[in-house]
Amino acid sequence: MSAVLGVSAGYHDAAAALVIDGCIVAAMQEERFSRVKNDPSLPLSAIAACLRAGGIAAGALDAVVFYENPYAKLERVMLSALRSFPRSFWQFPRAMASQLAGKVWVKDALADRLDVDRAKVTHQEHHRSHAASAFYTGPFARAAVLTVDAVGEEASTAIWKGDGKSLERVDQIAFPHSLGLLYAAITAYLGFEVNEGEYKVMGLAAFGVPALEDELAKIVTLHDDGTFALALPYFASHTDTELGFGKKVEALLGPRRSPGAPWDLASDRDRRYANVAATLQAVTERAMLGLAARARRLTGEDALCLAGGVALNAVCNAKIPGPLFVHPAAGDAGGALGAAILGAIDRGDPRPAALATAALGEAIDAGEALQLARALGLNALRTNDPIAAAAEQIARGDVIAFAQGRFEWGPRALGQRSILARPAPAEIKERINRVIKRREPFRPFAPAVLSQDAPRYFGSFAEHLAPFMTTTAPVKDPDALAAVTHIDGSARLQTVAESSVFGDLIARVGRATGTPIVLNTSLNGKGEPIVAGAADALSFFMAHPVDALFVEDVLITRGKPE
Amino acid sequence: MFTLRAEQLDPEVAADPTQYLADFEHLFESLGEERFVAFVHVGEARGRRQLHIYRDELALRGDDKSRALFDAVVADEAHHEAYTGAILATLSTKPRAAIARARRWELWRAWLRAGRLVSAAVFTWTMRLLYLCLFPLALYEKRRAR
Repeated sequence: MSAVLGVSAGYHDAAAALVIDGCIVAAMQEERFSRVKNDPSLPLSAIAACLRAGGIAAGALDAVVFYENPYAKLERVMLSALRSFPRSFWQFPRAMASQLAGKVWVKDALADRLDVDRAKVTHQEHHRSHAASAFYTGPFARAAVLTVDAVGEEASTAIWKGDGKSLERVDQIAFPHSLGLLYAAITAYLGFEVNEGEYKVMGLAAFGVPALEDELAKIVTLHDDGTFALALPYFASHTDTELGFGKKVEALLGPRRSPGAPWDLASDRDRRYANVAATLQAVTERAMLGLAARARRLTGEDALCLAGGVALNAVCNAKIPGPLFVHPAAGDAGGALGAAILGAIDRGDPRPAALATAALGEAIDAGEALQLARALGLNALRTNDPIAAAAEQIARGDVIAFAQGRFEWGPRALGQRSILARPAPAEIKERINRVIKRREPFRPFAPAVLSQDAPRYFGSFAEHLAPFMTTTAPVKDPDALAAVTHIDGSARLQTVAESSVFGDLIARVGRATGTPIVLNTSLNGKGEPIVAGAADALSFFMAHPVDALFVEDVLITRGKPE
Repeated sequence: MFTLRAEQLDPEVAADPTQYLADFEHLFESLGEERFVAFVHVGEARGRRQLHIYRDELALRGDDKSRALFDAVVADEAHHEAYTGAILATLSTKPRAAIARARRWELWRAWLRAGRLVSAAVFTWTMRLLYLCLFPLALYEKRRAR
């Protein structure tokens, strides 16, 4: 029996996770504490919070496991620079500085900052950590596991066979051939930030048609056996760390879009960009279907687990048939949890129970929220039945900020740190998009629905994915759910058990309005991480025009204090 | 106003607020209130002086549109300078000493920054030299990768 801390850091989305005696105790991203979106720095605050949640000191840890091999990564960076000699001349010093100035010393830094024995700090392989996060937290005893992201040490894609506590690599596709890099390159081409704007591309895709298949076929080749290959002259990942796409992409698809320029999807220019996004999405879906079939064929398993950044593509996940599980923090953050579980299993601990909730973060302090709200001159009071009060406000058409319990693991707000509203009419979506979250008008919102009611409102969906909002489903009556239905008639639904606090809220909204569904979007402002503690929640409330803020049993409004 | 003018001059830069967001160093927490206010006050005073130079230069060039913008910004900076000075006077028993300390701290930061720049330049050129020396290995690796 052991206490193992898993850590991911250095690239984007640093995180920490704690597993004690084979149970997942806590898992948190550093960005929630540092308030820097996708913060890659050593997650010291997240580590401290995990240790608090586990009630142990760093000295009592049996192992600290970093999610990837920093030395193999340095080797890959050097070799890929040499392979593109002499074009990588200008990028080489920057690539080496990034490795030598910190990343390669990360295990020493962890031992030093946590004051633990250096021998206790080990590492796992990047894709193995991803695979472990998906397989060991999933519902299947045996499964094929597919990990797809930009790049780990060397692999960009890997197939694994999971059986009980064992996890064996079956196949891999090596960098620079990478679906993650393809998606990132086109994300940058469309003017969005890499590692952040990919889900915007996914939302934008529904506004276009895949009219550029011939052009994309020149950039990526999908083989019949499920593998794929990139046409490397179109990419600049060796020579340009900022963009990732080469000049040939602009020659092929037209000039890139200026970052931050306002969107007008009625214009020819932006419709063309939407078509680029739609074509990329279609190609990615075909590639993932091929890889999923290959994973099942090579392992002989029907059940499939997915992780890696590409597995956050909910639209794509919805197209994959058969039993499927996607880890809720499928990106690099999830590697921290995978590494911790691998460390625990290596010490003889049992594999954890299937993940029942993503609420693995730090709890919010209602007392602190009350104190802060009063200090800020807001109307704040404790309510006997906050769920009833919240349901009443939602039912009458208000938009509320809702914070309760421990914050979520992964990029999705699942009812612990959420902005909630009724799922119709469409004007609610406009209000939240334009006035509250101040984001692109094409971005959709998700519906949260009671599990037992989901089939009444949505077409078929993967049951293991919906609780974590990692899939989409067709909406049966888009007019009735106008604020949560995307332009293509789908929604990224979340199913919620009625026995939970969030489920109770949805049930009450259902009793008041006849529709047991709420619009659920993350509790954060534009460019900010999702709210973690009471101070963040108050800060959000002060800057964004929601009608009320609920922090556990504390109701905060803008009226004068009573 | 600043963003509007920035949009006229360079829409690409103006559209990306990350390019003009500040204070990622959490200085308020690390310095404490008194030292932070002294630092801001020194910065505002320097900013006002520098913006005044730009304003005068624009006036000399006859660019009245940009000069008018800088008139407003200078007035704003003077206001910031005055109120941070007033806050400092209420927070500190020795505001002049606090300002002198903030200036010394800024000098120290400038020294460190210069050190970083020099070491970065040395590192960059060392790596470039190393890169060129690795030419035979690069040929081997290219052949192996094929």
